[in-house]
Amino acid sequence: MINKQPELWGWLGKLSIICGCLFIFYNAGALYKSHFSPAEQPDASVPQTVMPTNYQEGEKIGTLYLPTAKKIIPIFEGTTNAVLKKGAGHFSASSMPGEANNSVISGHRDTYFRVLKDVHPKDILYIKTADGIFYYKVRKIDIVSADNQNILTPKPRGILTLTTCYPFYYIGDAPKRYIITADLLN
Amino acid sequence: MGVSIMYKIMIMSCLLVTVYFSASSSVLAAPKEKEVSEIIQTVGWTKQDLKEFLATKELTLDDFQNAQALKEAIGTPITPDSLEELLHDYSMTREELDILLAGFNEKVQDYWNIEDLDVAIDFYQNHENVMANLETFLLNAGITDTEKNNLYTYFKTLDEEAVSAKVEQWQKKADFLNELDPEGSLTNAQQQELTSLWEDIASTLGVQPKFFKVDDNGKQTELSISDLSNTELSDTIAMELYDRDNNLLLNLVLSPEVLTTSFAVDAADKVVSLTKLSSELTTLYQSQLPNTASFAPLFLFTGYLLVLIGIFLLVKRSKQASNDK
Repeated sequence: MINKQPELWGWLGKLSIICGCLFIFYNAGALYKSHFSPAEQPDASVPQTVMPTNYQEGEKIGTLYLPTAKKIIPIFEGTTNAVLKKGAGHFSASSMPGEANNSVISGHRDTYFRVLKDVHPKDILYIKTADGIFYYKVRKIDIVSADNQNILTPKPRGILTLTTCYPFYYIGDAPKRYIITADLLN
Repeated sequence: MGVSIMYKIMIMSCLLVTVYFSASSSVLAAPKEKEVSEIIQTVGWTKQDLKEFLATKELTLDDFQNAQALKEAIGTPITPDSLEELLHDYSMTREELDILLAGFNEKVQDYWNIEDLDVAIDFYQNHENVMANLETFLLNAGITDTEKNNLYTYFKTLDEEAVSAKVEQWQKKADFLNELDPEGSLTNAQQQELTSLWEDIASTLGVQPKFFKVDDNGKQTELSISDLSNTELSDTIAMELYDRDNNLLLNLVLSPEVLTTSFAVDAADKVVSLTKLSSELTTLYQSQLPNTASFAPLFLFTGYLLVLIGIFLLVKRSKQASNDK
């Protein structure tokens, strides 16, 4: 086959290499950014600004700090694909971090939230938003099916629910969800 | 390396701040050893239990001003007897409680005291019904999902203390009006009561309702709240609700058949319930867990594969070329 149209196959070979490199650079860039995000320091002073009433989808709402796993992850409003490419996403129907209700934050299992596998019960984690810094202590870790209806529920007290897909190493839409439940301390 | 040092500095400064505040604020020292052992004896705990309890809240004994504060934090421990009593109050069996909690991914063991469990049972049992009830009302009144979200978001920004100081009083008034004969007409005094209730609610919540009379030609004439209750209505009424920054929260069109006294009373009752729940309003029920799979690794692999195929083709072609020569 190749001997009939060597020029064409040569071009195809080059094109395929270029496309492959683009794929690699684009995705490796995304993976690299999520795994080696710059470690900015949390500012201990609580900003005195009045909180904005409603965040637009894709707007940054705060930062999640996982001291035991040594990770700092930006949190954006919404859980659409476009948002989850930038960082962790705050599930819009859930309450904001720090409120006395269930606050749900999700992230991609192979980028920003891969680190969840290194989070253990009794770990302390905290979230900084325009309203202040909120400390949480991990209570438990569950693995549930993707259509589980018992996780996204309102709660009578401050709870942080971190979700990502499970298994961590899996190609395509994973059948399960990895759920970390943490209690608000302050 | 730099990061870990920064974390250490951070943690140390947090500790220092904690130590500073606990040292400066507690003129009365932490509860004494003897008092502590007395307390845990009365609740039937071991020292280990106390340690675990404090650890879950990330507290130490020094965080408590005195024995009383510690006692209050511990509450009534969950024992078979105390649990039995609580179940009796809710007329539930232990099995029913387990099923209720399982629906929220929780167990009795997740709770340290009866007080917290009590709050949770009450919340889990009633909250969903109350929310469903409110949703039906909003839907029947013709409020769309976007408007509902606007409303919920706005309610969450309210000053809870200011509102909760008023809620009981409103509830009493609404209950009183609710008990009146829905068919009969209100006396002037009752009419006044209803109008003032609405005005009070609107001013406390910082919302401004605007009412318009819409005649058959679509012409709108603005009305005041008192116009509404005093005049006999035969026209369709349009209502626009603005928040304190003059943003439109929602608009409604009410036909004269709907806009009766009993509707105004019922609506007042529902709005009072909404404000009572202001911080708990949520559309979280029946949501799906977000899909958090990304295809980055798969695409990365595809990229490698494409490069390999390309190299293979080029090598093959150059071999072919050299053969041909």
